[in-house]
Amino acid sequence: MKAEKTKAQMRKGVLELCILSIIGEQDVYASDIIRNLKSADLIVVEGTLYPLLTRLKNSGLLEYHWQESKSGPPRKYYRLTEEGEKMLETLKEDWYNLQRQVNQLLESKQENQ
Amino acid sequence: MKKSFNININGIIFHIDEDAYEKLHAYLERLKSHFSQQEGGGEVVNDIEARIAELLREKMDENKQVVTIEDINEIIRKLGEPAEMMDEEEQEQEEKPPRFDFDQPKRLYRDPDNKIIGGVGGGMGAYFNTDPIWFRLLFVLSFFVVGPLAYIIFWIAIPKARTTAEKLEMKGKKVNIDNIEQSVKEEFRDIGENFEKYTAKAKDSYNKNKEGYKDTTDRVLDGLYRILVFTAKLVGVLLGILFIITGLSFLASFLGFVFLPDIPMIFTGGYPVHFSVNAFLDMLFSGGLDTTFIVLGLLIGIGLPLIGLIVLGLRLIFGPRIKTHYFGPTALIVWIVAILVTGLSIGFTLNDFRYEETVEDKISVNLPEKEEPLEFSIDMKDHKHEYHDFNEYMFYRMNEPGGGLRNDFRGRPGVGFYPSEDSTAYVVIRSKSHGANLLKAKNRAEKISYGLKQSGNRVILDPWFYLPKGEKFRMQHVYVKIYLPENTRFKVDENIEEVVYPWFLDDDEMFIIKDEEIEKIEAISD
Repeated sequence: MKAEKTKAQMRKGVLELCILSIIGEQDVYASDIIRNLKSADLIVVEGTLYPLLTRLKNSGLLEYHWQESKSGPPRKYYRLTEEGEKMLETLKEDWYNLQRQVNQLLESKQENQ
Repeated sequence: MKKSFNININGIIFHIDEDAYEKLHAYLERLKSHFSQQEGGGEVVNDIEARIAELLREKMDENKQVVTIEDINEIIRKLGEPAEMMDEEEQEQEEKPPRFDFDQPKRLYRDPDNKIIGGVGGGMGAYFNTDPIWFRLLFVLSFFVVGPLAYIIFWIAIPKARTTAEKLEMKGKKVNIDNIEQSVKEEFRDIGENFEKYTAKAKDSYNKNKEGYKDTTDRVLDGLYRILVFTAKLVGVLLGILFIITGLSFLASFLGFVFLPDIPMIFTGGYPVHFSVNAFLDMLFSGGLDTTFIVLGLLIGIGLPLIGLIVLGLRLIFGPRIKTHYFGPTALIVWIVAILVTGLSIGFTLNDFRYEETVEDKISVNLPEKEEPLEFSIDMKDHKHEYHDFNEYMFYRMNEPGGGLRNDFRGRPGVGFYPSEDSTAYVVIRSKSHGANLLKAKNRAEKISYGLKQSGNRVILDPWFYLPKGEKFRMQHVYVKIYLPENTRFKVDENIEEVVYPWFLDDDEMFIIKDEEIEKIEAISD
């Protein structure tokens, strides 16, 4: 149970970065993001995404436009704002640093044992 | 066969089973109430709805045309309950709810759970976050003016909080998942109760129809009962008000009597004199037990029942909400102890009043040699007040010349004129006191200090008798009996006139002892 909780928290931590990254690739709508996140096993319930998107949009990192769809009603397509791009770069850099450092830490430990 | 609806989600029409619809509707309501308190919450719900429409559309095809409850369950599982959807920042908010309690605007409802008549006071208390007592008190106080009218208007105008959501709203609590869950549970219970009521009613009306003639009688009886209950409540409230007013005024005057005992009153020879309850109690109660005990005992013995009366009044007005769990027993024990202590010391003190003893002191009076009348007077020195203005007994505190206050007592003697049994004039000072036995009473009587002096034809009486310092008050009294022989002419001054026996003695006239009687001499100015 403890591990589950920590795992969930770790995923939660990088969720924002992943969303920004997905949107940074190309304009997407919510279901695309969900598909991506699910394949990466990053979210458990889909509902989690929506409040997060709204918050990111409200803090000026995202914007959206309506786009007609071949099958059904128009969809909200998200893209990064300039601020969002900067944020993504910062977070990415931080992630790579963190990854490297954490890896080093884990590997050095293994060697010591 | 199943009943199904058409619903429109995000612009797409779906056929949906009734139970599936209920489930979906409830889910959306949960989402709405959960996100309604967040910035952009409505947008989140719309996005989720769009997603639901999309997911449902993926499920529908030629073979499957109706949304079933299984579909909805699956979607809910996929999307998650509102509590699971929480964003990190949101969770932080969740941890300190008081800051966000203001987000939920309060609404005024009548509170059916906290009502005495209609729940107006309770609802107002909840709305203003105050004890409803103040509103009730306000209503009760304005009862005879605009109260009833205002109350009826409020009763009509303010909606009753019927559901838990409304009750929560009434108290300004967040309507969140847990609360909603509770609400749903309560709804179910209510439905159950209503059903029971409904069936009972149906049975009732069936019975009434069967015995139609009873209907009118029942209604009249019901009406009478209601009127009776209302009248009883009203009488209770009025009685309560009466109790409170009585209790408070008695308590106030009693406390005033004990704690503000020094009433500046009279001036003796330039010294301010105060009437003092402390001095009185000090001089009344036997030594051994401190006066403080007596005062405390009296305070509790008299004060507590008065407080009880006030509490009773409050209970009559506000019902059993006035918590008196521990008041009764505690008050009773304290009261009994106080009564015992006070009673004991009062007993001791009363015992000291059992026997009465009188001592007499005879003082000769020289009869004037010439034809002058004897003139009797009481020397009031420079008093501004009339002699008879003073009480027979005075307990007071006096400013001592050296500073500080001294408990003191003085009494006003009685004066009487009698024919002498021989040819001499004399004064008998009868000093009287009470005591636990005759000897004690006699000792006390002997300690009373009183005197008179004569100069020429004038006999001047002391205005007061005094007790030695530290002496208790045991109904000490002094009576000055003035015996005059036959043919003695005498006058009294206006001070003596006020306190003298026989009552007809007057300072404007002269009197003479004739045939062992006191007679008036008409011609005073010869």
